[in-house]
Amino acid sequence: MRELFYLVGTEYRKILKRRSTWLGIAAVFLVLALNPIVSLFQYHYYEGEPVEKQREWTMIEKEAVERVSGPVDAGLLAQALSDERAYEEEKKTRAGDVDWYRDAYSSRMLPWDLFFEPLSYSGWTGSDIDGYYRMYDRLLEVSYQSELSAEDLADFIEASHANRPFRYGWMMAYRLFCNNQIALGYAVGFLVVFVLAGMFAGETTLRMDAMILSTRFGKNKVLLAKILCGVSFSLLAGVVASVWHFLVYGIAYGFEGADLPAQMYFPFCGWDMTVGQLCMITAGCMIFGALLLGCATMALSAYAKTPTPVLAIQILLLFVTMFFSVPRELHALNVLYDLLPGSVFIGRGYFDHVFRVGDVFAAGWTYTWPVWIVLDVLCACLAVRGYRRRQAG
Amino acid sequence: MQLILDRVSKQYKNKIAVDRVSLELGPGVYGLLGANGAGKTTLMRMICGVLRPDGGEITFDGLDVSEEAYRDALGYLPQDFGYYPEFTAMDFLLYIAAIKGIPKREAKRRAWELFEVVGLEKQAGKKVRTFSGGMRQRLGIAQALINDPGLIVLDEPTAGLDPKERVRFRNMIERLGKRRIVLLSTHIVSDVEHVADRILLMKDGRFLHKAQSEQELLDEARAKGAVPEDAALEDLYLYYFRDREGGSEEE
Repeated sequence: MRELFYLVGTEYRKILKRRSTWLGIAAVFLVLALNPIVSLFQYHYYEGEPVEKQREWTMIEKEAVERVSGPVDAGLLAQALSDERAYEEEKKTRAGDVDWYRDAYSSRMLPWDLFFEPLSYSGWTGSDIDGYYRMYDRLLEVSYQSELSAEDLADFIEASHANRPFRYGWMMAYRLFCNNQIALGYAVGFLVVFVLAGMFAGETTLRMDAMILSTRFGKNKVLLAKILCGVSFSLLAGVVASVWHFLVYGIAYGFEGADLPAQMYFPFCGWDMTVGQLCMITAGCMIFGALLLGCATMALSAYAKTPTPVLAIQILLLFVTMFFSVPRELHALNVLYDLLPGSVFIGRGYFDHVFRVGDVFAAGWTYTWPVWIVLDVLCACLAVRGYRRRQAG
Repeated sequence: MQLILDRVSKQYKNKIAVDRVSLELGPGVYGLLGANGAGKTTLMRMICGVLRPDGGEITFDGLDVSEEAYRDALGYLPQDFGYYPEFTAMDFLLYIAAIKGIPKREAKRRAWELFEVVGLEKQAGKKVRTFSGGMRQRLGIAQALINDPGLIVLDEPTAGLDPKERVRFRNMIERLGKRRIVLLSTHIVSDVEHVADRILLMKDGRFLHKAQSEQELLDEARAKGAVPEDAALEDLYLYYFRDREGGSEEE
């Protein structure tokens, strides 16, 4: 086992010797993880005029939200609506007045920014708390009526009431983490493809095959070490990027809000879960997606003469999943398509394709991981076969 | 220490590359001579476990060629070997040492020793892609020796070496051959003349001769009237292989 770990370390050194690996890692962290910090030092604008540095503006918003945080009941809703109306009325006569904007917006609108955002999905214009909750039921009904029978759908909606009344509060770090996890997923995906495309490809072209095969570990352990290296690199890339991403948002915006209901961020969520759990599911899907992408890249790499075609195929697939989706009417194809790593990175399918097992309602995030692990094993077997047949066997 | 080949065969489609070759080798330097396509490289690749024989058996001190312990005792310099472009000479040796199962500290010590032996100590930190053909070949020789092997197989080891390097190489092989089995193939007859204890002439996948020495080989040929009295090994080579000149390498 010790020898195997040493060989895995050797494969890592090989990967990390490449300048391209470091460029990829630097790009992921600079562009995506440091972006939130940089944005804090930019200005918030009102009609083209700078109002406040984003950092200060965020602190004002945080204080404003914390002042009104609590259960989403009739009182909270009435206050939100009255603040919004008062602000909109006054705004008509205060165009371009930055000082007015700073005070009025921060006292009347900023407290409710996070509250009204989910409502924007439905175009809701109601004014009573029952209507507010009925809107959530209606969103679930529309979203899942093609996937559940009428009876199951009713039970599903009923089960979603466990979180009610929702609690409102500051949860900016979690919101931004989930929003940007898609971009991070793609960045990690590209990094994994970029680094692992050459894991097997080219051993024969580089004329290393005979030398490797004649060594003590060249026939079995080297191959296993390469696969373990690729698997661990994919997982590490996903985990480190997610943790780093979360820490950056947490440090910039505060870690408060993990226990708030998931519906306050994601109105289509029918499960009894918190925003913190939602973030973990999002991160988990991204990490397992990166693993599947890594294994698929290694499988292709084992059959390729150079890394170029592997890069071309994988990047094309990532772009296809980024821009195209399969219509929901083609249910089976839609489910399969949503299992692709690119679909996962874009957040497609986590909470779709719901089915019932007893009293539990399962969606993409519950069954995709085991399916991906099976696919990972399949890809690893293909990589072994390809390496032995095409590279060094 | 004994390498035994027992009726070893290899066939590529319709061509028999190695035809029921049997051989027993003890410590010493063995020169494998043959024209292009004679089956030298195929035979060497089978001895090194890179190719699986279609028939027959290869053992080293009772270990089958498929066993890990067999490869642990093996050092192989392929005819045409490559490198990872981002590697320095030291990285390259340490990588090969790792896949040969040598612990890192020992690998580093061995690497420096071998850099000195092959005259690359000043180039250890340089990228292999910047090396000349001769330097790469010397690095190849170093990687074959890094695990201090009992069985050394060198396929065209002097290709790309200048005369000075060739002399250095011959001396090294002579030293190594005292307590190891060194099997080397070459087109350069003078290399074999100077270092080989025994010469193996190969043609069409078979051994024509397994002479104990160059003299024995020449005596035998002279007795047959195949070569003149004052002939050297080179003349003998031309006599045996002239009909294959310009032939193509099957491997």
